[in-house]
Amino acid sequence: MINSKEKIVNILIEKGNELFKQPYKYIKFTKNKEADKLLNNLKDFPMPLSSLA
Amino acid sequence: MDRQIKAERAWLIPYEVSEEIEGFEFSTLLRVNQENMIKIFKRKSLHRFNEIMGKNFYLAIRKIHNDYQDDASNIWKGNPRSATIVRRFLEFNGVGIKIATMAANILARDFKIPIKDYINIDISPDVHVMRAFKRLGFISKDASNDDLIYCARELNPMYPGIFDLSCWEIGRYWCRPNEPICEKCYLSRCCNKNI
Repeated sequence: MINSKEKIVNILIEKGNELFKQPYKYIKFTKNKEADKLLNNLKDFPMPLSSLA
Repeated sequence: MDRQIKAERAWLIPYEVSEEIEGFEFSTLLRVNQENMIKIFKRKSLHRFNEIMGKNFYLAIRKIHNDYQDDASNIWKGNPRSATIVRRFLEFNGVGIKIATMAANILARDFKIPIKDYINIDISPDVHVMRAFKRLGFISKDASNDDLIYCARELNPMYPGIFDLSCWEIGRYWCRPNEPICEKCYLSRCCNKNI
C-alpha cells in the first residue's frame, strides 16, 4: 500500500513532468503585456551590440 | 531582483528601466552608469532595496558585457551542464542559490533551453515553497533552507527542482500563511496539513 507521502511525491513529480514536457507557452510574468513581451523575447532582448552592426 | 518583494513586481523592473532609458538594446543599457541606475531605481521606487538593486542591475549589465559579449543567452548556450548554468548565475552580484536555481529552472522548464542534465537544478528556498514542504510533512517546522534543498534532492535526485513551481503555486494560492484554502488544493486528500 502506497503511503500519503509517496502519493504526494508522485503527484508533484507528475505535475512537474507535465510542465516540463509541454511545448513553450508565452509566460505571464507580470500583469503588464509590454513587460511580458520583453521578458518572453529571450532572442532579441536585451539586443546584443553585434546584431545592431 | 526577486528579493523580499512580490515576484510580479520584480519581473517588471527590466521593463520599467527600459521605459526610463527609452530602449532595452544593450548599447542603451551600457550607457547608464551605476549612479544613474540607482537614481532610476530610487525615482521610480522599483524595489524595496533601491540602492543595492540598482547597483546589482548595473553590475549585471557590465558582467554580460565583459564576460558574455553583450549577449545574455551566452550564459546558457551550447547545451551546458546544469551546474555550469547555476554557477554562472551565482557569479552575478546579489544572486544567491534561490535566484540562481530559479533562473535555471525557468530556462529549462519554461523556455525549453536544452541543458545536459538537471541534477544541479535545486528547489528554490522560497517562502511559499518552504511553507508547502513543511505543511506536507516533508520537512520539520523549524527546517532550514538546506533541509529543504536536501529533502528535494532525496525525493527526486535527478531533478530536485521539479517540485519548485508546483509547490510555489500551492504556497502562494492555497496554502497561505493564514486561513489556507485546503479545499481548493489538489493535494488536500493526502496532505498531512501540518498547520
